Amino acid sequence: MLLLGSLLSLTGCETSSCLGGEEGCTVPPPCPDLVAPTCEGGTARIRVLGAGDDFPGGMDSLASVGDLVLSNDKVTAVIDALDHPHYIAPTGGTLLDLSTNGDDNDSLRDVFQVVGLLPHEAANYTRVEIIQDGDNRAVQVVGTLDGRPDTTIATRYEIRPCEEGIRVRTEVLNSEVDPQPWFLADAWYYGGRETIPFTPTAGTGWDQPEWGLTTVADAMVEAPYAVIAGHADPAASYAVLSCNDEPLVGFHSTEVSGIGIERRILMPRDHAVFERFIAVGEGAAVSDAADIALEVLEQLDGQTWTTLSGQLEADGAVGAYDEGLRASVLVSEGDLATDIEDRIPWTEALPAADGTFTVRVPTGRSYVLSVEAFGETVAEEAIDVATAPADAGVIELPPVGRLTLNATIDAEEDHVLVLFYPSDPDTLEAEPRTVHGHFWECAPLLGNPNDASPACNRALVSGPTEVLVPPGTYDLYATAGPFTTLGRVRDVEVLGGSVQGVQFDLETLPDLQPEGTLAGDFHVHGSASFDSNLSDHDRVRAWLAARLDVIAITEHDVNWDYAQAMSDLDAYDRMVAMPGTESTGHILFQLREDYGFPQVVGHWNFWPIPFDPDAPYRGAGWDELAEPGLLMERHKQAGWDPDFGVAQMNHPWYEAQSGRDLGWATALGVDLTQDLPTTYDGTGQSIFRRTPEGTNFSNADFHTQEVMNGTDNHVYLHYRTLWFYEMAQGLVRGGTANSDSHTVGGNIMGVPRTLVYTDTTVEDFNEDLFNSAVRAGNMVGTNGPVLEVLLVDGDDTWLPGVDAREVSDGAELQISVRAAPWVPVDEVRVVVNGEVVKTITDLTEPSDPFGTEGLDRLETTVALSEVLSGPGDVFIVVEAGNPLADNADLDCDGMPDTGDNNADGTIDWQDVEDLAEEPEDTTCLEEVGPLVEPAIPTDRDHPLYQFAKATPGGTPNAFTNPFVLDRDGGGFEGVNR
Amino acid sequence: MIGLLTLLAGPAWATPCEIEDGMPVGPVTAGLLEGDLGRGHRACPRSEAALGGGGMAVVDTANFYGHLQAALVLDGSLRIAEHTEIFAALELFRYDQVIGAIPATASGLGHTAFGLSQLLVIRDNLAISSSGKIVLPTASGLYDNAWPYAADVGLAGAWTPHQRVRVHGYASLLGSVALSDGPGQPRGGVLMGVGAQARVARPFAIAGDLTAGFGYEAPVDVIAAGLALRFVVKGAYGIEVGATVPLAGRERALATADLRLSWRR
Repeated sequence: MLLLGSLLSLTGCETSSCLGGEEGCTVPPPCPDLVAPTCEGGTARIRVLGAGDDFPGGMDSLASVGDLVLSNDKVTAVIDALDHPHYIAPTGGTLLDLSTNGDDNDSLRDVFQVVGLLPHEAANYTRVEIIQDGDNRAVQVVGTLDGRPDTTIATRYEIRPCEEGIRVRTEVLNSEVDPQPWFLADAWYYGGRETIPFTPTAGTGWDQPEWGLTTVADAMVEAPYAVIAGHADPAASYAVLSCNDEPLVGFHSTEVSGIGIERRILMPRDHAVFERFIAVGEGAAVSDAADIALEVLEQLDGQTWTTLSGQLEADGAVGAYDEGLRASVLVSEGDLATDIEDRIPWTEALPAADGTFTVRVPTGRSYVLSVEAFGETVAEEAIDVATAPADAGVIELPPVGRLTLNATIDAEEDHVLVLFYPSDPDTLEAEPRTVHGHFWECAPLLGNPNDASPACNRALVSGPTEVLVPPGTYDLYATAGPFTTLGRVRDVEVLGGSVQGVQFDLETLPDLQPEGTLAGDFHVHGSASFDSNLSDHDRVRAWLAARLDVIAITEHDVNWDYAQAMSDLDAYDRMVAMPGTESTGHILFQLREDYGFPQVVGHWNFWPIPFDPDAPYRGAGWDELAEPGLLMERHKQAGWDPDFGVAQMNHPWYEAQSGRDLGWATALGVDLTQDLPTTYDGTGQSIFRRTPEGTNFSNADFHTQEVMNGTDNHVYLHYRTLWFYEMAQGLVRGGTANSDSHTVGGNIMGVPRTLVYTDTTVEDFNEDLFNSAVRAGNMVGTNGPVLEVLLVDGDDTWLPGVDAREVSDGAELQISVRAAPWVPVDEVRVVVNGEVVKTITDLTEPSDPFGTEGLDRLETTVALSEVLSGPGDVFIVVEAGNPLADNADLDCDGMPDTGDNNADGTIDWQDVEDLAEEPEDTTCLEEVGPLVEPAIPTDRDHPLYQFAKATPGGTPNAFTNPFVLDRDGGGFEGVNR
Repeated sequence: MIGLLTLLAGPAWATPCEIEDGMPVGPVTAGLLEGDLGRGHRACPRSEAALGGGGMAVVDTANFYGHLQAALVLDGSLRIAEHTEIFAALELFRYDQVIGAIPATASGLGHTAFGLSQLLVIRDNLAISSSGKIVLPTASGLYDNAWPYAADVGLAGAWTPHQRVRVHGYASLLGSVALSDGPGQPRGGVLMGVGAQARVARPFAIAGDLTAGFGYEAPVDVIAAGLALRFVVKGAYGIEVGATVPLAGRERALATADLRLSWRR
């Protein structure tokens, strides 16, 4: 065999290739054994996108000017320009968008080529060429592995007339001198909340083996095809098949899949070739792409197929099938006696509006049809399929109830968010449900938590809104933000087939939002982000339901404007949305000399940024491989104004996910017991203030930091502690409170929010004036309590802010606390230089959490002389809300990390979740955590219970920005140093 | 040292090619390149059969890379004329594991080498021979789309300055080219080595080598030191336990080591 191969090579039976990377080379056409179908007038086309061109659309569309578009009669593919890289790919030349023609249903984030998991195992393309090969059109990209000049990698994307997909061939050559363990594959980047990959192998389907960076090899699944279904409408689904006589192998998660050929040792001078066909089907079901895959398999492997049909029906007219039922039919090889683990799930159908479905399946096998509705398997039927089309007949489903929700605010129909909670023992005992075992648990599961409303246990309501609900008894809460009453309807009994209406009548609470403030949320996502499938319209509806005044749109890695949805929903009359972005590091690089692993720099928001619908990232700057200072420079180049715009450090203290650092301070390993060096000394700590190459911006030149992030404010303690530390170090930055909402099912819009004291208004919005107030820190953050604090010194009155003031000894803090009746406020804390020096607990309580009375909770003054001791500059922050839970710093880095988790009255190693035995040295522990959170009462009449239902995971909290006092007249340069 | 050795009992090498038993001679057998490409052959022809096993390890934690290799090798030589020998080596079984984020393994038949050695000069205490071999890519588990063919040619010498001390050296030109759909990527270089073997006692000798390679994979491929313990049992059977440790150059292996059992006819 070897000799034969050698002889063939010697005798000139070579095929062309680009393995040498030379100019003029051609990657051979992919899948030569696959015969393209014919169709009348079929053509294949290629074009370079220009300004004003019609761009392929869809929730995940990212095409921009300069990208290449391959299209035929069926599908359209976009290959990004080499200088427009996206997400993890170091360069363009990747498959960026893929849709069925005319449907604007791109559901693809990005597909690029790799030979492994590490940054230097990704393709870095340096050359792109257009190929016209008869009727076929192709794009060829050639380069090397990233940072490895002694390798060659080349990919040809080819489209042929009439084919329902795109052919791809990648060849990679190991010209290095060591053998390499390469897994030549496409990296399908999903982002974590959009796509659930599916493979037809025993025991898998939606349920893929879990893996980590060191266990990928154990999670490899060999399958005839892999399907990536879009889930959210409008959607396209994709199926991948190997067509070069090698089995398709891959590992999968909701973040990323690697789909390629068997990993192997590639010896020096050897090469590997991966040819695949990527089918594109219209629709959100697996079957939309798997049906095409089976056609292709028939050609490649002789695997014959036939159709399997059926119809879903539910009892009673009301329970009859319609789209809202969200039922799906999983078709698995096996019979009812076959264990789930042994069944081979081949495909999944989403029935049409009349309940009918038809899928293709391999012939000559037995199948089980499992119907899943609201996250639960509700019916199963078995059927034998020979070669003729098979009909499973009618499958009966249990009926569900239909609720028509409606709400008014101040007697006018308006936007609200309604949350469902099980309330009777039977409904409470039912297990929370998930979408095919993924994302997060919901009780009840009314819809995919990452998709359109209804999502998870919530529904956006604006006028009569019908929601299908599994039978049970529920408490329903309606919320429209902290300045509005809370609606509640208890014990709504939903029966199968029942129809009923639920009405909420909310009221705006008078003057609760402080005069002269605008309520802002400066961290918001929708489907333009890689981790959300929430449509623009539902996103704006959620903003309206939160009754926010100003939004900073901060999609991951892309600028966005929501203009169409804002216009359609008449939102411009009620609020302002500023385009911006959240720079989100994907590509790992060696950030720190004192750390052995590559990292990213966490997440950074920039707003406003001019929106450019034709530009890469819609006008945002490329945000990979850069420290924060360089990110500021890139966004300045992109049009962000460093004099009036805002750069914000997001969730700065957070664990890495999928190897990517989410928080800047944790990435640097900042030790809060040590000072921040002002010059770089080789440590991660000193990078915090470093000015990176290529810019004059320091990494510390950001304007605001998130002090509250997310509706669940359990890590407030971390952000607050870091914020105080920065101020003590002389870095005084504005503190914001943002929801970081991605979906209707997750963080709730505007919870928390930032109240900005500004002279501008929504009606006559002055962006520069508003953002100047944000930069100045004239702000209060809150998830409910309305905390107003002024620093009064004789006739002078100051708002909180980052600028230092000189005051007399007679100055005082005027403190006012108000809140909606459903927001309990137990205490006010005065924090000086990071330490609580005074706690006020004599606040009034409203009698009826669902009423309109009892807004005023506290009016008091605190003399500075009462809270300041000794000389020196200080910063003062005032907080209001629930008491903070006790937590201790067990690893000696200055950051609280562990609570009294075993409730024994002390916080020690025994409270650490990952410690089973006492360590030899308990002075500073290696393993710590978790933090303990304030307990949420189970008493349905407890004030905090009501708040928790409208603010899942949260406890009431508000904080002012600092009052910075220059008491020695020398300017403020920090404290305690 | 030599004075000490003369005091020890045991046989001696009167001339370089005097063969009185199965004591392994020549360069340390733990080599660094595939199929022992470029490693000098012993200067003196002999008929011999051997079975050996060896391994190699690369550990590069900074680059998240490792390579473990083990092989079982059958080799033999046949003195077909007074001054001429043909030889061959076959990796009967070879196992490779390359460790990265996604590790991969391969096992099966390894490389095959065929060679010829011709004694050119034989004097009282000096022998010089020429030798050459080709290395065939029979490692079917390792090569998929490219088959590297390799060859070397060189001179080897042995000098016995003392009856218990044997100095050996060699210089080889080596080259290879892959037969492939892609570029053949021909490579060429030189590998040379010098070493000495001291027969400390009748059944035991110790050998040490210094090896240097240039131009094959990098300007400086490797500077390495080798050490072998050699034994003779019942006259005709030889045992070698050796290791080579790269000291400088491109080569990333921590070490190679082998155990070789031989029978001399």
